[in-house]
Amino acid sequence: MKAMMKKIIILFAVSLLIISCERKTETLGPDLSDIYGPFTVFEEFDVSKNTVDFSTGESINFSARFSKTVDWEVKIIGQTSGATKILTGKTKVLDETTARWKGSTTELPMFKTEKCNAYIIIEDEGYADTILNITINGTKVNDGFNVADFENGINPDWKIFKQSGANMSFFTVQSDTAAQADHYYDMGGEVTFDYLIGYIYFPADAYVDSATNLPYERFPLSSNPGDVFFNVLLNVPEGINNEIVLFQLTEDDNEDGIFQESSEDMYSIELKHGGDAGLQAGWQTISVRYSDLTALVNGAPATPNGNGIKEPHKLMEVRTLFLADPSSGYSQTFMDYMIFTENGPLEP
Amino acid sequence: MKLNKNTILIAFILIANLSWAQNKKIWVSGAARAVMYGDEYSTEAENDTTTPRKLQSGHALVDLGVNIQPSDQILIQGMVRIRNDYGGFWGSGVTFDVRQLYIKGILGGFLKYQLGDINYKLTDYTFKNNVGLINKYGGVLTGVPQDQVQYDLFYTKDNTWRQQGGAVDFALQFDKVVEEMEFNIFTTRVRPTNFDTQDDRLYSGGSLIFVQSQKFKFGGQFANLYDFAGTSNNTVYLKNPVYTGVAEFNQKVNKVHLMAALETGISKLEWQGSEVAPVLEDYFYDVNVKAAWAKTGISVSAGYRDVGPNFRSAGAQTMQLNFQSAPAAYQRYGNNQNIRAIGMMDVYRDASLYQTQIVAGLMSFDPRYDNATPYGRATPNRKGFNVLFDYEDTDARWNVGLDAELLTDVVGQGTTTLKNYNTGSVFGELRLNKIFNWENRKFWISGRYGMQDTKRSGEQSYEQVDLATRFQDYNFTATIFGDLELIAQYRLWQSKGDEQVAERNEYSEIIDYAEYSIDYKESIVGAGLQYGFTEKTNLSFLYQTFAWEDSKELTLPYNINTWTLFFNMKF
Repeated sequence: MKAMMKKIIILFAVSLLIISCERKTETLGPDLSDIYGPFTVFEEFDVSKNTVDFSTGESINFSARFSKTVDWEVKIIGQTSGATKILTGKTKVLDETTARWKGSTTELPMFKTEKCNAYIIIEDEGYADTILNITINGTKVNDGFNVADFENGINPDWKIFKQSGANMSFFTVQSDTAAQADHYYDMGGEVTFDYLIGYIYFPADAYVDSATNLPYERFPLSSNPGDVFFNVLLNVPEGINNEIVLFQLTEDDNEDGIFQESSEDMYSIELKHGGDAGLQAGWQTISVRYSDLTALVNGAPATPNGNGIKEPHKLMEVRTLFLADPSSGYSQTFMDYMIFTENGPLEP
Repeated sequence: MKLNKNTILIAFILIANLSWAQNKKIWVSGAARAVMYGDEYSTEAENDTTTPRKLQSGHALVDLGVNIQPSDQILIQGMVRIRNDYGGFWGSGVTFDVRQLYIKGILGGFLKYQLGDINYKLTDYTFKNNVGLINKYGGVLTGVPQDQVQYDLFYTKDNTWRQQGGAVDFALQFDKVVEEMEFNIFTTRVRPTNFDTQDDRLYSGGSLIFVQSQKFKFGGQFANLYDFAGTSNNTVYLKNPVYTGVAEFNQKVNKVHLMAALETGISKLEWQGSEVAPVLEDYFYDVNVKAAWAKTGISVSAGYRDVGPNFRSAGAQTMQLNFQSAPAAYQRYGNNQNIRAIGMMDVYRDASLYQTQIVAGLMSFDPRYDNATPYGRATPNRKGFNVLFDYEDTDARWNVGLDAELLTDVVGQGTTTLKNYNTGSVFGELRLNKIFNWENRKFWISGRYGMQDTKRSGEQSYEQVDLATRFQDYNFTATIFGDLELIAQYRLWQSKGDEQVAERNEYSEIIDYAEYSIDYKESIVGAGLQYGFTEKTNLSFLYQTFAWEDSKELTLPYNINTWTLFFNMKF
């Protein structure tokens, strides 16, 4: 009995030793007063500077300070373009870490050199404030290989074809509503005898390597298909719902300078109207990682005809074909800012 | 895993023949089951005109296990499941799956090993398949499908988790100081690599117990959930080691069996290689004493525990029910086709709601089914007392008991004020057949009333929470004649009040609170006939009504009347 008592005493001594261990007594999670307490504005909504040049890498920060954590939304709207950038957060403080704007756009078109207004909205607290006339002196520069932004008209080495249909467009348009800068490409028409309405091809040799002053044989892209992104901005006008936009990317697998459709790879992106992944009315950004491209035959996935390896550094030509069901009437889509980016999709 | 059904059938016919030929070195074991459910949905809600009023479902399945014993020291079992869902015909809807495969044996006459599928557990704080409050107290009616769900999921009565890997158990005996040293070691894989962003995730551990005598043993446990670096391109590696020490005394004093036990330990959860992930470290201790009077049938146990807010033990805290899942029957209902919340009907018959593998961190839970200890005894940020009293008549004529846990937060959530969690239930069972000496007949009635309250006061109104859950369960079993029994059950579960449920990030840290407000009740009432052909073969015909009411009208009220035909055989 004595031995047992001794053991029990040891057991409880160990227990007491553990009980005496120090533990942090800070409360867990965010303070309830930060979430449910009364709302007061300690520092008004403000911006770090009223003039910014995003092309030189500048950015602006919005600031504000509240008594509690709130769901806030800062909306910046271009006075000319209508471009919209939305910053959101759930914090007590807006500062350079939570509310920094580097010139990108949430809702196309992209910002131009223009004046903007910034609005903060805290819906749960019924609070709003505005900053007027933030001036953009230079727009954000996107790294990548610019295939076509249509700002300098049509490159004579691009290959353009349009059917003999009705109301055919296939030309550049100057407009404040261009997704990027001031011009976009209008593809439209009604063709009753064929799906194809027209196309515009962008061969690599339409571009000049500034280092050698010679045309590129293939697009100067990374050889890693996981790093390369194909991006383009498209706009389907209201009332149009029959458009089919087909992008074809042809590879020169054997590097002989010629694309042989029967023996080399061609990867495609086919975009139709509607659905979760389809085209919608208005400007939208299409970004596809090169490694996610598939070969298509009549819209269905198929085995590529070449070596089956996605090799962006062997890309010879980007083709844009605009199609519609011949029985569906007039169709139209605008295209702007086709660009290859690396290590991430375009952030317009 | 899909296999050609003809190949499997031919293989089993051959094996069956072999078993006769080879003098029982090869034999077949397994189980068979046929289930049919007929559900009839009804609602008083005006805005539900689209939910199907009647649904029928079911399946027949057979688990065929081939046991091969090439020597006395080795046993190999491979079990396939052939399942045909109700409505399948000419092979349509038939599935063939490998249910389990293992090799076990004894090496050198002392070392037990098992490779392949293994069932394993350690302790409450290291590795244990904890049963949630909603599943804790079985019922005669709800228990029929519940047993099959647990069989399908390999949930065993000794709270093991089914794992895939290997285990080794052995013991060394000594003449002095300690009688025996027991070694248990296991390693399993809980998640395979995808060769890109996700490493193999392994779970390994073991225990070393020193048995000093029949009265005293002590030792330690180790369990670690970890990413096996190098099996993918991932550069962040999860590690969750848990170390615990245990000690247990047993002593009989004047026909009273006394027991004292301690478990204490530490845990660490970290993501090595991550600059943003936290390192969560904490400790726990759990002391329990128990006294049992064999002569009177009374036993009392009491304990105190303190589990730190950052204590993380994947093997002990993984919940059985996955509240992120949705029920299979009537998954969407109402004109808005909302997802139907999990109810008791689903908990007791839907295997798809359950977790089959341990997970890192803390799963989300539903406070109505247990707000105090959702992660079992190892629920973090809890301290307090527990009491268990049981009084079993020495002639087994009746049994009464109560259990209670009086817990609080260790540290507050978003405030310094702590929540109190009081859980308890009283239980009674009367075996009339024993009282009236009706040999070979069953005549039992039993009942349980339980409650759980979560409360937090505070100076500010937003600090206050008050959530109350009440549950009742009444069961009746009577032999009509022979092996035919009448069973009946009524179970009620209701919750009312408000709570702030912690929302956690991927590292299981609290980042926000979801306001939880509820006033609902659900019940199951039903009866059935059960016929036992043999001890391992029975047929049940059950009819029950499941009712769901929501006073806050956040969900549609409904009833589901269900008849069930259940044939079950083990061989």
